[in-house]
Amino acid sequence: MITLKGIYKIYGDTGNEVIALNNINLSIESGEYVSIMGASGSGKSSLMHIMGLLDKPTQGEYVLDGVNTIDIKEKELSSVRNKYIGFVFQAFNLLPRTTVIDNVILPLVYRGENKDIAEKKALEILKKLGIDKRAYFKTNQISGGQQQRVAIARALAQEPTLILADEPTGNVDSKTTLEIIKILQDLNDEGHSIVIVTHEDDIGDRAKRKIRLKDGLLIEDKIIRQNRV
Amino acid sequence: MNFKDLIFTSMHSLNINFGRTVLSALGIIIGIASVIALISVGQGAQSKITQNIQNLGSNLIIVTSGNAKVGNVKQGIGTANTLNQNDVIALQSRNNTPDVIAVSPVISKSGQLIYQGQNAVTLIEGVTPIAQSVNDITMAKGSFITEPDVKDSLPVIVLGPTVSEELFPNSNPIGKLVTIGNTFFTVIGVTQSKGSAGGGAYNQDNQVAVPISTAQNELFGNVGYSTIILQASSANVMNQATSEVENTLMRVQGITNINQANFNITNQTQILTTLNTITGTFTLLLGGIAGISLIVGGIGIMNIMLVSVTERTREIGLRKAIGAKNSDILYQFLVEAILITVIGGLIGVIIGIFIDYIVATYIIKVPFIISSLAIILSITVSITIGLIFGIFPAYKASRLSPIEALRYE
Repeated sequence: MITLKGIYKIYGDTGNEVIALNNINLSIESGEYVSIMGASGSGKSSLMHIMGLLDKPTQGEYVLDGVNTIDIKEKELSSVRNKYIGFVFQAFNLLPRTTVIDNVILPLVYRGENKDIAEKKALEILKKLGIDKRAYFKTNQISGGQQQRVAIARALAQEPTLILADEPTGNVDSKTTLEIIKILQDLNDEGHSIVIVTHEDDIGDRAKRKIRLKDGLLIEDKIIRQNRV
Repeated sequence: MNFKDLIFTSMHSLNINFGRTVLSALGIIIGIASVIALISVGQGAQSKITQNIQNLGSNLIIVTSGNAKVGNVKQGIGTANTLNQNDVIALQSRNNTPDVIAVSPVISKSGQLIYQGQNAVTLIEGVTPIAQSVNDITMAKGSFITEPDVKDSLPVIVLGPTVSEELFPNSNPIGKLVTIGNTFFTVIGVTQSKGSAGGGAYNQDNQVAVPISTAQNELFGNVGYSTIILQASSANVMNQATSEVENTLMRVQGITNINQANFNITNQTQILTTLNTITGTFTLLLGGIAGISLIVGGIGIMNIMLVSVTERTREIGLRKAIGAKNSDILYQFLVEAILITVIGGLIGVIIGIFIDYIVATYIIKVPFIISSLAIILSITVSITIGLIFGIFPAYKASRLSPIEALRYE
């Protein structure tokens, strides 16, 4: 499903270069649950940005669902992201003072989908995540855990090839962390492909495969026994 | 994103920051309101002035006597009373002036009328009966100066409504005696109001008429006429009639070059054109000054939109991450700017019309005219301002990199 070949990401000018990713080769199959781990500065954010099509590698090849993304023009990347990648961010990144449902349908609106159909779909997803009662609340009127569930609902609404979660439990308490992990685990059980980026080992251990980066190098890639909730 | 969703999204964003939206619209509201108010009031004043000039009578040619000289210094036009009966007789001849239908000589000076301790300072005009038709005068009470009044230099007087109101606030002036200097005049009529020019220099209601012979014999001494007012047979022959008058007067006075003439000829069309040009220029000038405030308002919007882009960096990043194209972001911010200016513009139009109404009706008392041109123009201008001053912030927003934007704290 995802194939990264010889990926380099180099920041800065010649002479002042910082190599954030150094020859990364990686492939992830459909239905996998992968955690990308590493200390800050290890290159995991750069890798996530490239996998999420938010950024392009300096060198290398990235094939997503059979599509070579290197050739896609900057302009068209938005539509590709909208179709393939569902993001879940550490800071939730919901639109403030906007209703839960309007947040969930946002990617569908950008896709040009009919709003009524989109809302119906969003309500089903919210119900599945147990927050349909909050659908018409403003995002600043609900708790952090609920906000992260809204963000997950937004990602699911896209029906993406890959759910990309960047430190999804970084801003919530330990009880809510478990709830979020449980949701991701359930989604993976249903067949969703999930990549979670984290620096916490106990979160990383919730996945089925663990990748570790250090100084831009991929130093570990192994199938692990999933620590289920 | 389709157009409906785009409008909805932009409206929603404006609504979220309602206070800021109102503040940024304020510049446009004030700008549009002042443009509409000033242009409309200007047009009202212009129509009032036109109406006043037309109230003087129709198709008039006015000959004013030349300047008096004190030492070697020329005084103002009309100070010499150099026109006389010979001029009038020559002008009355159909052979000399075939396109002139009436000749009305006038002697005018300001003076004081007294009635039982009340006094009124006003313009006293010595006229002939023809002045009534030439100057389009209708009587409210009594009658105008007649031929016999002029022939016998009778001490009779016709009051303008303002003078009548001042001297006889609660009684009928007809038959009463008023004094000018040492002479008693019997009031024989009061004219209908023609409307005042709202404190203008020339108020047709604040004047009185006496027989021209009486004015010469009893009031001002046997002087010449200050003005001869002529009426052309139609508006089409104004220029022709004007040159007939000029030629006749030059012949009577024995001069060959108009520059030597001790009189001045002007006609109503010229006066109207001149006044309209002046008021039109003033209206434009005022509108232009108000227009500058519109530009300032536009810059205000740009400022606030730029702040808004910075403040909403994360939101922009998120929108782009989940599928907003650069153009989606560009249009969203552009539509926000245009919505501010359009809504501000509409509010400005309403306020401008209101100010126009108050100023025109209660303060300077001119007709209340809503200038549709000004309204269409200001709405167009405000949309344009929204476009011009919205495009830079919108472009800036659309070019933000989603990673930088998401990382922004």
